[in-house]
Amino acid sequence: MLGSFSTREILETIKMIQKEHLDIRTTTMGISLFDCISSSVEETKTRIYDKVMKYAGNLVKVVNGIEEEFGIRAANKRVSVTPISLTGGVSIDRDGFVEIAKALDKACDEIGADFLGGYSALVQKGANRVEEEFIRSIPQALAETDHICSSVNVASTRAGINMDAVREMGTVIKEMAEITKDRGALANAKFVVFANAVEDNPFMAGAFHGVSEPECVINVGVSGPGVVNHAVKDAGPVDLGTLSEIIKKTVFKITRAGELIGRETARRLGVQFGILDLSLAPTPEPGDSIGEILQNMGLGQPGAPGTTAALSLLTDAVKKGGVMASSYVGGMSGAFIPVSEDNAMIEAVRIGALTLEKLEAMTAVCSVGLDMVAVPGDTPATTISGLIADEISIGVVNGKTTAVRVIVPPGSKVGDVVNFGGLLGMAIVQDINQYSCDRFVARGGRIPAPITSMRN
Amino acid sequence: MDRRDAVYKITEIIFKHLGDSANPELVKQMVRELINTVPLGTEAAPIPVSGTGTAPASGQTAIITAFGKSHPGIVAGITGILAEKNVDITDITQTLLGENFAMIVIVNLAEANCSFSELKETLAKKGDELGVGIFSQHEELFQFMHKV
Repeated sequence: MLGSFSTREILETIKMIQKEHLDIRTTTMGISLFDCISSSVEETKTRIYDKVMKYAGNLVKVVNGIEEEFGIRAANKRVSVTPISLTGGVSIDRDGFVEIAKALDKACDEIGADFLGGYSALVQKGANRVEEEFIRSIPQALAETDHICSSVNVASTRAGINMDAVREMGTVIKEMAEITKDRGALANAKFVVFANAVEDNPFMAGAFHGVSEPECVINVGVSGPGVVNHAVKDAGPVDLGTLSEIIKKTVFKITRAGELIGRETARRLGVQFGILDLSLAPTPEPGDSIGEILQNMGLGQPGAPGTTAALSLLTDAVKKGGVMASSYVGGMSGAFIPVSEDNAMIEAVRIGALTLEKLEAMTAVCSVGLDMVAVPGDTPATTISGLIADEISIGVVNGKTTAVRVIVPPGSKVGDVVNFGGLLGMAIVQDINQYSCDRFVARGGRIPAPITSMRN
Repeated sequence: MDRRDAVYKITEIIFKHLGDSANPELVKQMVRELINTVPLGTEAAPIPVSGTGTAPASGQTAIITAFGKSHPGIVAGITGILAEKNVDITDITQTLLGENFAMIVIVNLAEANCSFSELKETLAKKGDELGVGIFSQHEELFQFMHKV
């Protein structure tokens, strides 16, 4: 024993941090912008910029200090704001919204955060005139900023699916791909379409500060696919119940690290601690991969039969292990499967082991959805909408969050590689079913809320 | 230290010293008496909107670990710096796994004559000279991860 610790405990923590990429993936400050609404774009812009600077001005410095003291990497510092579609006021048009995006981008740049999320709209039951205008501003806003992330919630278990919005999303996604084609359709990587979007998600691109959130909070996403991967690998050929137990114990420890950092960050900034998101989020670093965990669980490749079952075990064990380690669990809290950001997934796509359809099935049991998948440049907008409608239905019927972040690089063909570099990684253009859904998507309207929504 | 932190700290110290004889009523009474006699800053000081983040971690204990290929002088190199910075060693262990050296030192920073980040940096530099990796961390991380 050393002090109150055993040597094993100390070495285990050091190993997780030094060798297995345990880090605090994101420390995200949520800021309410409702008090910035004014009658002119100019005034709103100024107020929003000032408020972000005032609250988040010290975010990066504080988190870096904590990183230094506790010796655990805090990889990303981010900001999320009230959905911008709600802050525009009455007289705003799409150019006005783009102006606000630029003001937010400037603030994000100056505070040194890497992304700012919340250029968002919540239109699950329908969009008003301002929201329609806002949605049309998204491609330009993303093309003309560096740090802004955007999302649109098009469905919920309670409201059903707004198919007019889903139809619009296909067009918006194609448009933003076109105007950022010189950067590999980069805007697509910063735009998510949601069902059941959560209000306290700290992860990008989907983070926004929900309408029921307080003035300012710190939400934290802790990440340890590398740690879980090593634990699964070291476990050897144990049965699946035992494996679940091992993952639970590992995730408990990872989550405790996140809880400590989240609380300490909130305390030092003098703001409320919001939630801890338990999601296992991979990075392109070797070993820091959900795909590799699946392989170490016994699958030849992610996408092989058994993948959905293995992923469901993993997601469930992550939740069970994490929930006791934190007082406030929220956000997505499961396992992310962003294909381009996970080396083993990229390889599985490259060799044809992992198809779009299998990914869709996997999203029924993981925490988000079709994330960072690339499809050919000539894919019609209606097919994109069909893909979104399918994914969103899984979320709506199962009462969970699902999302689509799809990249449609203009001119790309199946097998082409789009390299974003950094966290966004590398996407391989995947085959998508060529049969049309034009007439289905053109119907529009609202798919009624499922029977599972009636819980009262 | 703002008022809230000060009250928290005082409560913590009282609990520590009272040991088994501590009870909530007694502690509450002692804290109240203390804050009524000793000024702790403005009465209704608002919580800062966005802090400066200068408040250090509450604990004074840090864990220093060193790993690398064994050779003479590693322990001396590390403990020399700790002595120079007036950092008290409260526990220490060292093992050899084949040629690999691993050492864990638990230290108390209360009397240190430099900041934690300076100590950390000095040790890391020494590690580069000695050809071993030296990592310094506040104890809280280990507490949170391993103690329920």
